[in-house]
Amino acid sequence: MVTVVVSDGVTFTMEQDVAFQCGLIADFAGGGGDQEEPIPIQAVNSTVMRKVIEYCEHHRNDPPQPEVPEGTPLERKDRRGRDAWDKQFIQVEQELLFEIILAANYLNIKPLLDLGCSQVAEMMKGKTPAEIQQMFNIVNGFTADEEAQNGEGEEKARNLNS
Amino acid sequence: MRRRKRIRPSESETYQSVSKAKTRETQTRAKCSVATIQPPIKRGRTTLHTTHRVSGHLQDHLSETPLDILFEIFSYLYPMDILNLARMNKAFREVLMSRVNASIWVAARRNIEGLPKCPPFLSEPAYANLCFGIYCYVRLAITQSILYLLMSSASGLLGVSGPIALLLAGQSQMVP
Repeated sequence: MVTVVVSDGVTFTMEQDVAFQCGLIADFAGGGGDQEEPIPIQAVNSTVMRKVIEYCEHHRNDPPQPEVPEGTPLERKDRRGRDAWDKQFIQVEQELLFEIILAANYLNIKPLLDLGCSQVAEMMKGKTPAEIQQMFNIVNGFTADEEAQNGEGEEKARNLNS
Repeated sequence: MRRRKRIRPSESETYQSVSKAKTRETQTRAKCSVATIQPPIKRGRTTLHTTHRVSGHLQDHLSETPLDILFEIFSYLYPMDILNLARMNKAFREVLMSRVNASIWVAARRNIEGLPKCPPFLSEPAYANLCFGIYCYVRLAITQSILYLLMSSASGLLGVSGPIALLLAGQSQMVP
């Protein structure tokens, strides 16, 4: 069994094969038997850790994923091992989604990081700049002049083409 | 006013040192997010920067995300989505349009199977705009069909593309 303590002081105990899917914990424990001292994980809170453990428990018996070579087209990248459970699992509020991504990055759980990133990408796909801005609540940062220039540029492009 | 005077020189100094030590740049890049990254010297930069960070009551999670994770997210997008992102926000445009980050566009281009390589006379964003931009309807249709015809018929596209290069160069002015 492996024990971890997260930022808000909650302690989680899990079996070794669950815990060792987190690269960070595996490195910490060094692969040598039961860990008596709890491992401190300050960058993750208990809500996110619960989600992460849920993911690790579901995937405890998965064979290791082969590395995807660079430059693989998206259709083939997305097809590998993503089941309905994963899709359901990642359907969470935006704030939690970004926290899960950050936690997966910190804890070094590549499949969960991939899942989160592809979910965010899925939210952006096929959206106009204004729609993306609204969805992620982003301030556009262009001054009024620049906005007008952008509009003019588009207008010119249209005129040139016609 | 006094504050600004004091802050500015130290800021520009850090940029100079960063640009000098390129190896260090890659290390720091992993730590910063779009919201914290700043261009070297720009007009009216301070005010723009302050408006970036806070957006009402809701937090802007995307801009606060570290760049390396954003790059991971971008690798799941198509070129047209990257174009939209570059047009969305000043900070995003600066990150996406900088030459250092051309790899984002390359990765996005590879997500579409069978799309020809970027010709050397175009930048990656210009090429994405040429293929997927929405503002150049008519010429886009012509150039795109010529490009695809050439790619399918001969591998020596770049050798025979003198006139097309001119045509495409015209298109490249309409980059976002």
